[in-house]
Amino acid sequence: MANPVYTIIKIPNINELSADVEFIAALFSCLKHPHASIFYLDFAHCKFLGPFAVAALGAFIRSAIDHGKSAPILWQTLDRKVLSNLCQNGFAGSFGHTSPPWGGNSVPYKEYKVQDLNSIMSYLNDNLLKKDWINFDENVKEAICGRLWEIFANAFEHSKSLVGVFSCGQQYPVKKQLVLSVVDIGVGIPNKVRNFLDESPRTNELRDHVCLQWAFRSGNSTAATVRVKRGLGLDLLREFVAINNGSLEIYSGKARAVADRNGLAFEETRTFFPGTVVNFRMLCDGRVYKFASS
Amino acid sequence: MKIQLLDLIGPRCIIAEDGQKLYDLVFPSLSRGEDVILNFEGVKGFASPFFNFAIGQLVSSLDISVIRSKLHFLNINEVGKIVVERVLENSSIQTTGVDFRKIVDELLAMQQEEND
Repeated sequence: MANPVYTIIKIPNINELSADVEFIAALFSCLKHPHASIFYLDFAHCKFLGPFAVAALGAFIRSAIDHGKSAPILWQTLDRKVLSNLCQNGFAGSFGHTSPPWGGNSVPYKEYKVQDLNSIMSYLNDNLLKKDWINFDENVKEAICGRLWEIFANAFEHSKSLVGVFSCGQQYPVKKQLVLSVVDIGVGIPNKVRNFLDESPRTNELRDHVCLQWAFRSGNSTAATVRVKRGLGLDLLREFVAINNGSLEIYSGKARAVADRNGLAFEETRTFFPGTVVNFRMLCDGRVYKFASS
Repeated sequence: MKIQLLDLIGPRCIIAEDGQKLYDLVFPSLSRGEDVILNFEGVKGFASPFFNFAIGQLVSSLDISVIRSKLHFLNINEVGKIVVERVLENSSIQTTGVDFRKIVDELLAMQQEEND
């Protein structure tokens, strides 16, 4: 029997989302290599892992297993602070480390194989919008969770992800910000849009960021039927971040969208992300949140 | 007809399947011209998938003026009202006979403008 071919992946120190996404996209492309079957994750050069990186690494490890490969973590290479963060948010425990999770500024790392409404809403209510961090009433909390639910609903409905949906978040007390990253490894928005518009023979000429732009338009949905109009979720989220000085950053395929108070911008990325990343950022500075522009 | 959403669905009107459940109850009454009162007392969570199926779907079979005059929303908070209104507006936009080729041609034209 041939020995399994292994690769050591050196996880770098990255703290900027677009560079993170590029790195993770490149990581996923390794899975296509026909001969490599073990990907050791070496964290010796990593001093920080943001919530997107945590969610995406979880997705990578599960995807590797789904491909009949493995991605073991070299625990001994982890910086003490990085390991502490991964233990705190539960990522470490999910992949065999013995330390149980605890509270703090982390929003737990979660994997969802199925759309579990109560579990996800509890996660958003109790973990992301924690009482200790944000002091607003239950109705406002539920309203924000309703907006954030749209992210998960889209991921479950559209992605066709075999390994599920992954999330992780972080509170940044000095910046007074909350971040939630939701990752799926699936079809991706641009491919869904092309499949939907497939009646036209020129659909394959559409670039990914143009497809993403179509998906963002209120009322556009690849799941709509004549009976049930859809397509409001992204726009409701976009509106929420715009009027509350937050931001929404989405990567899918070779496309990136950024929504904030300055509007909506789309661009083509250098690398292909095999699924969708939604990075939601909101301020928690004691403001009164609005849910519609006046 | 009066429906207490807290009893029928729970405190969160969020998922599509629950919206379909409500639609199945209200459509027969509305199509007979009867008033339907939806009481959202105790409901705190609202999202578009629920309302797309619960009330947006009504627009495909009933006139929007019938829906607005016969379907009543009680004790629904501001966030819920916003979602309902957005769903009704969205559903009122005609989608029969969608011209996919036209959509693709428009997108390609936009793409070409970027290249120029």
